[in-house]
Amino acid sequence: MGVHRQAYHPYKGPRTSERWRFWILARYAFERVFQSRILVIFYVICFIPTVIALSAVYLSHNVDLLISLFPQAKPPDAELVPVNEAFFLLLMSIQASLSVFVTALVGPGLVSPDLSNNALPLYFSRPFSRAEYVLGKLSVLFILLSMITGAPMLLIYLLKSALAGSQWFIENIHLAFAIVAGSLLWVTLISLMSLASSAWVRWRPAAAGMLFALFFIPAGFGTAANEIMRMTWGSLLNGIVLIGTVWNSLFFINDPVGYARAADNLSDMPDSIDFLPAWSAWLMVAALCALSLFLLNRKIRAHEVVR
Amino acid sequence: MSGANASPSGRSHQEMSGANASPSGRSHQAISSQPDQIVFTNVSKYYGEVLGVNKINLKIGPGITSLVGPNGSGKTTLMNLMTGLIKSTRGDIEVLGARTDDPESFYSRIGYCPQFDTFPKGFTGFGLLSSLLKLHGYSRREAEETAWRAIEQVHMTDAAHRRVAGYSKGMRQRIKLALAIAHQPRVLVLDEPLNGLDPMARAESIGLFQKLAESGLFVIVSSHVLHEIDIISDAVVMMSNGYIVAEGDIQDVREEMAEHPMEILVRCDQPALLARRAFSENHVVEVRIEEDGTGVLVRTRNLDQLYMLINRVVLEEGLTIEGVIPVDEDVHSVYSYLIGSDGAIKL
Repeated sequence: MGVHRQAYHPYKGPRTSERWRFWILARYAFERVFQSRILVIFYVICFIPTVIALSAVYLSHNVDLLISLFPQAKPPDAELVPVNEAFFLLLMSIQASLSVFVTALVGPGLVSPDLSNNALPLYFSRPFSRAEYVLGKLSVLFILLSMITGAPMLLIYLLKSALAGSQWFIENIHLAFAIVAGSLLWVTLISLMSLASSAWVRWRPAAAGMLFALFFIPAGFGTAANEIMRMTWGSLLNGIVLIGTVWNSLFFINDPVGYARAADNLSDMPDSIDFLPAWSAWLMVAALCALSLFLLNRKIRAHEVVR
Repeated sequence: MSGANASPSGRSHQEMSGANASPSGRSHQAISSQPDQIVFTNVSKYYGEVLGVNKINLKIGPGITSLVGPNGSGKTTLMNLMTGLIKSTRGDIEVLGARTDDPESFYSRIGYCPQFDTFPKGFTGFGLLSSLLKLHGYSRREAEETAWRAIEQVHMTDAAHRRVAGYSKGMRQRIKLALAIAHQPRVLVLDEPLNGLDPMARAESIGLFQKLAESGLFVIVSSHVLHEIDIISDAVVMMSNGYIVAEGDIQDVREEMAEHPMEILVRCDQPALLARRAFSENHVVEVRIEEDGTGVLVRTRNLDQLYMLINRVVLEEGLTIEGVIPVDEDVHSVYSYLIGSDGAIKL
């Protein structure tokens, strides 16, 4: 046995808070994400609908400016852009669609490279848990997607409040709540689904394709099931109907068909649209989040389980 | 397996039958919270129905401890358990009094160098080190200073700002070592750390392990290169099929293996005389005079009695001894006796 001098001195300096360690991973991921020129360009494009909406809301309260810009235009009889449930639902649908593409560009690069390069033991042999790892990766998508969904719509709400006065702000506070809750729910769902597919499908293009497949393939089956079995429950497999139903419930739209007809004067809207009970959509969204977490939990391990 | 019955009982090794494995509660009470040891108490790990390790009772002290065994013997599982990467199915593990339920304390004590490359994409050596130090709670400045010190220790300063993906096998091995030692752990767990290193880098790494061990660190190394293990190890843990076959100082382990007579080469001026006297002893099972006529190889079941005999011959016959060399008192021989050709590796 060797003689050991016990000359070793461990590090005894101050340490940063454990609570925010997950952010270290997110910070490095952000650096990598914005190295992609395609993503940066597309991300900027994602703000165009918001800019248009902001301009429209501003101009509808500044008719003089509108007329000076377009001298031929007649002053509108009513509010140029009615900022109500339908307005935010439409904008949310547009932004959510764009966010799917952002997720497809960013999501697959978050987890799959770590798994392909067997990098997880390096993280987990440090005071860094699997939950923190997922949180770190999730926060990247969460922030990126929130910036193009909830945040700009909230900005529009605040602009409208500033222009229309505090009375409008108070009377429509439920819209702010619906915007925040609806976008948080959407961003959480799509981020978790993206991370789960990234963890299971290690080839990046395949993982990106998987995200779209998860939206469209089950939706096709659901529609077929509805047609064959003359029911609406098949729409539970349709992600777009699912999240739309949840948003409707958040905006307190209990009769979506009637509301859509009234809002858009669409008398020809078919009655057979597959609307779901709100509770079932909420349950399904929760189940999808739970399933994504379960799938992540199965894959985010320092070592693969031998079977 | 040949080692099943041959296990030396003098050291706290794991019996193949598991008969000495006490119920986890009681034995844990007896050996827990030892701040100067790594303690495994009745630890088992199953991957579904596949056995990783079974009923491991083990204490590891400071210095260099080597894990040896064929592929699939459980070395990496034992290391993964030690580093908290996997949880045991049964039993308790304490590393210098810390457990995985206190990760901050546990991982400040442990540095792990995995067997395979485990590098996230896109990092430089320096960037990877400093970012992982931040996961240990180092501030940015401290992380960068500490990362640089670790890089200097493994002689990687010239390549520090190059991407890890462009490193050679040897450089990647060294940066892995830097990752393991950077946060100043007291326990270093190194899985095949010499793989892929050229002879110069191997010698440097071995020198670094020895230096770290001398400063009071616990260095746990797994390797297939038995002659290198022989040079550096203070203690050896031999594994086969998920069990510990033998553990402890290699000389002590060898002496305990009574069914395998010890081989001693005596270099002397009158080998025939010594051979004749040795044959008359009951404990001597074989005597062979070396072809060059400068020595005699004696196989004995009692080393002490052989040494007494040599002393007597020197005194009575005027024999001149040039050297007494134990031939099979090394890791390679013990491994052959205990694990033998059943092991998957070629020694």
